[in-house]
Amino acid sequence: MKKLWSQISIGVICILLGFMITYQFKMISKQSIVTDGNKNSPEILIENEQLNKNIEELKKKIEELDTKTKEYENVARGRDEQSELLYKALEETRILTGGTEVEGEGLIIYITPKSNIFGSSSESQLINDSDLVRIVNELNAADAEAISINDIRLTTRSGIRNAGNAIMINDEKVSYNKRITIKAIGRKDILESAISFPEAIPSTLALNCDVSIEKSNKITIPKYNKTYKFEYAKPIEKK
Amino acid sequence: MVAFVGLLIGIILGIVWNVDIPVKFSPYISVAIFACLDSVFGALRGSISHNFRADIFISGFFGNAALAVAMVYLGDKLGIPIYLAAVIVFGGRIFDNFAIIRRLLIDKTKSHS
Repeated sequence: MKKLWSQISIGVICILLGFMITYQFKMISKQSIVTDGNKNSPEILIENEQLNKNIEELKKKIEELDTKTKEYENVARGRDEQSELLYKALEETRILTGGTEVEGEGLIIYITPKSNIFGSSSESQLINDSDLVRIVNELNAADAEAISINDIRLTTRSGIRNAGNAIMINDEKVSYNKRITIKAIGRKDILESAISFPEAIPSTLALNCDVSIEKSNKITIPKYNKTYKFEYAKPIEKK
Repeated sequence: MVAFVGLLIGIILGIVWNVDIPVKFSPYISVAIFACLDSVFGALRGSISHNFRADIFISGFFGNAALAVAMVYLGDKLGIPIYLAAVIVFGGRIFDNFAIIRRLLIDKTKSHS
């Protein structure tokens, strides 16, 4: 009797153990499937491709519209002196707001992250948003007329800040582990002297990256690709 | 023999029966499995050395599992991984028991031949 009892108890407990083990196996394999699915879902890749195509098409459209407005402007400006003056004022504000591509003499700064021997360079952040802000500030103080970072035009409303694993400038991502090119149009000698002033380039940045400066007679800086919106700021009319 | 049949039934039950235990209990079950495995090894050793007692086995099975789960819960609340203590102790004991089982079995086969 006692023997039978113990046999049954062992059987029941083994049932329990087997059930728990298989259940846990099932759960864990389910979990790993879920995480794998998130990593390389083909749907996201397809969507990404489609969106990239969309971008190309929209860019083409922008170009077409740009040439059209240029034509209209050219026609309008030839009419009389007044329209000529208006056109000039328009061009000036456009340069100011970054609405046109500009070229001229200036300075190019290359910031190349030093490759780490221990191979952890992709993990740590070598270029900080504050470093870029400082350099841009320095360039602005030295009367730079147009500045771009990795061909992203900086305007009066551009922000430079860390977001996730990149630096966001005008809603565009700039990787902080790859080479960053800062272009500035202005008097190149003044720009150079401003940048070569001690601490103009932060010492931490100089430690982590190779910073080289190049003077150039012809730099082109692309235009700001988005439209300005003023929702809250309204001009005050003077009587 | 009964143990193997029981295990088989349990495994089939686990595959077929789709009971829903919340995912957050997953670590608890893991540690409980470890505790149960420990008592099963203990029982195996007991049955081979002929001093197996069902009451000790059953109380050990459930008691170990409950204690391990309690440890995981406490560690979760206190922020220290106490469950490591359970894992280490049970792991060590499983190896100990296995060593003794091995010795007993080898001795048995030697005495037979």
